[in-house]
Amino acid sequence: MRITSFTIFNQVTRSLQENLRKMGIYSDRLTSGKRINKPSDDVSGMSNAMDYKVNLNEIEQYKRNINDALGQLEFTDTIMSSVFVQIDAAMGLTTQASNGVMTPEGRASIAVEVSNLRDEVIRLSQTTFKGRYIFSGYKTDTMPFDDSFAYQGNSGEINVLIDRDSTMAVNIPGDEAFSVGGETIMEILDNLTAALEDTSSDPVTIRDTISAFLTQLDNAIDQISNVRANVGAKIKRLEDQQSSLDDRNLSYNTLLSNAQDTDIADTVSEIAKIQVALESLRASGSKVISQSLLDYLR
Amino acid sequence: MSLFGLFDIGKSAIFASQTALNVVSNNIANVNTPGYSRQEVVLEIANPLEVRGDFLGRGVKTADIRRHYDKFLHLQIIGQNQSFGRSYSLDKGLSRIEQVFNEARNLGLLNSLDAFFNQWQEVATNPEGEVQRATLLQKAQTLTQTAKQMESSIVGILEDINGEIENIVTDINSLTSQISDLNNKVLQLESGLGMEKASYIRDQRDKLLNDLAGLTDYSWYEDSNGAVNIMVGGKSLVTEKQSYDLSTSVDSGGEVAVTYNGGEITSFFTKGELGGLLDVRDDIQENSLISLRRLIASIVSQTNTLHNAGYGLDSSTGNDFFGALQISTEDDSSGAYISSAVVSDAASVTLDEYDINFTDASTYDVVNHETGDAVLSGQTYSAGGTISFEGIDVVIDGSPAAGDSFFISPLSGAIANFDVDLTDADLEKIAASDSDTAIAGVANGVNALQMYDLYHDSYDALSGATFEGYYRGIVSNVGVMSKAAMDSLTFDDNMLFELQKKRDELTGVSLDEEAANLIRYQRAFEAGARILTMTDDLLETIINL
Repeated sequence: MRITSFTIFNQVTRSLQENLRKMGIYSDRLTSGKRINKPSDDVSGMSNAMDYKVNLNEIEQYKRNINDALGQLEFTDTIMSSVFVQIDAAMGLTTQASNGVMTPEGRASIAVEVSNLRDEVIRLSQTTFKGRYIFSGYKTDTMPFDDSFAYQGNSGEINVLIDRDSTMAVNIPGDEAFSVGGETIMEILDNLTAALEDTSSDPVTIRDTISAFLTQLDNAIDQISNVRANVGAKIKRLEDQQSSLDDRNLSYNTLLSNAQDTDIADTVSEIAKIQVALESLRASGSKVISQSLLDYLR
Repeated sequence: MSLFGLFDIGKSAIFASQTALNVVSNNIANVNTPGYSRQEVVLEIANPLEVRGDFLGRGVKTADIRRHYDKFLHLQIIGQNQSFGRSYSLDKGLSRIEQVFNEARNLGLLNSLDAFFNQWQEVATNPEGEVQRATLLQKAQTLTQTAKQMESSIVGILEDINGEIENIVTDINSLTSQISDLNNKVLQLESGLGMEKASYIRDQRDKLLNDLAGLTDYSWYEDSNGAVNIMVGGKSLVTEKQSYDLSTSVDSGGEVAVTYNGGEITSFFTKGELGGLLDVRDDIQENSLISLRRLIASIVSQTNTLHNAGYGLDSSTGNDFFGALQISTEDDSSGAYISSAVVSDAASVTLDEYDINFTDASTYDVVNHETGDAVLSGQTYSAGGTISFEGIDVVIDGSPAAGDSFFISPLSGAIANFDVDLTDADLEKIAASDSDTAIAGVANGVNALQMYDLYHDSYDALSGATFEGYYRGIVSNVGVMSKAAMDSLTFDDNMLFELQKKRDELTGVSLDEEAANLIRYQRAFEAGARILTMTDDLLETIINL
């Protein structure tokens, strides 16, 4: 094989180019922190990374939904526990009022207290969360109960996605939360107030009428407890779902990192290797190219 | 045998060495000239003289100045240059397209697509929330802008490619005209000197042939007179002293075609930069651009269909979310034209493109542009009558003739018309509810949830893929094509390097070798001169006897 000046020169410059090109690729990986800097670097890795990103965004969205839902459900629970307190108080007052020795004046003052409790329950039912009535079903811009305690909302359940194919209702319609045996709690308290204010009937009838409310109030307490249990169960499920999403978030992040991130140690050692190659190429190349028979002809 | 004969021998030695030194010096001078073939002096004994039954040499003479050249290698290099040119163009074009879809750098559609559909969940959770609705519109606008930017980048690249095709055709014309000029010189010189004598012109011409090979594929042969003849697709570009120009024509879509003598010959170019550019243009158009448009068209039609079915906070229904899909058309007819083309039934539109072809003045077929399958066949034409197929209504007016063709596409303008139809004043019109909100209540976000579900549904128009899956397919496809182009560029580059090394082995100048020759002929020259002085001394001796 005949070696010409061109051959040597080309060989040296080409090897230099090749190594510099590799150097460019690896330092790109180092500065961007990514192993894949364009789709052709690793087509399937890129495709996987895109899939992981979509899943991560989705999980992020579900987590936001769950946070919203948790806020509303925890708020609902607080409201329901306040309602519970009112009914419990009404229960105590009713027991007191059904006592045989209670005077009409005493009943009248209890009636005032009970009517206050009734108003408090009405106020609680009208609670808004972020400006929306929470007990009106879909009709979040409508007060749930009118002056005669009739339900104005509907039974719509506002669903949020907590996973790809899984939704959860974040509201409890007022006709479910405040209904006991076909009557609303406010109605019961209102009727109770009327019974306490009754002065015309004979004392025994009044006492019997008031005693009968004890059963109704007891049922109301059961109902509120059921609603709270239901809300509690939802909160528990959301919290479980949240931690499961956190786990998935972590594993997708790991997968994403494996798919696209630079292995720093590996890259740095590759760069060191290329540097060695480049240095020796430069050293040997400069000698080989500059050497000529002409140097020895004087 | 006279003493004067020594003068002749000495003189021939000096002349021969001088010629050799000339050749060596020329080799040295051209050590870095591309395409230069090393030359060598071939010496031979000058007519020997018979003296008393023996032959005495009469000095030396230069028999030939030989050019080191291998025709087979040259052929191989031309072929390899053609492959290399093609790979070079493919790699250049596809690596640019790859940047448009570079999801690794978060350039591309995925983020905005994701954000748009996820925002529907926010709307579902807070159906009466103004902020959520306004954000939804913003995210929709980001999506439309991103798609438009991507399309304009792709279209920009296609325009560059078309411009480059025109430039390359100009370069090809310039090269073929230079080659024909050199042919002329070769013919003139070699008719006096003999075959393969015009070596430096041949070197120049070989270099031009290589340059031409980098631009286009061609077939060629050297005729018996030493002229090179070049053909592409059976059309002559160079015949001896004459060269024929290629030209370009631009169609209504801005696509450049290569023509020869008025006839289109674009499809004959498969190699060289020109072949590569034509190929990469098709790849980009059919794989990236159309697919992206199809994806957007599909998003528009699915979103609008569902949005039309839902109800806004103001109880309005039947509103489009994005601007409705429009039909683009192209006429290829002198007597007739499409006067209207609209979507008549959005749900039936398959997102295919069609051709309406006239077999005679009153009969037409409608065929699927991509598959060639007949949609309608043998229909009778009446001017101004509505032609309906697969959810599209087209009206053609005028008098068509046999061979007339009309192109119908719901895709061409899909991204150009991709706009959010609702404005910030229309926030209430966003149809989050699946029934009238006056009855159902404002917090019915059922339709918004279904909107989000669109993101996970698969569609026939997208070959059974989801929006995101289809888009990932486009990105992967770009990646695969770009990777393949890069690999073949590396391969062709290595092949070319090896071939050039082989060529160099034979025809390249080695400075060491030439330096040795320099000394060799210098010494021969000195010795020749010595013969002259010695002969002079001898004569003087005789004269002084």
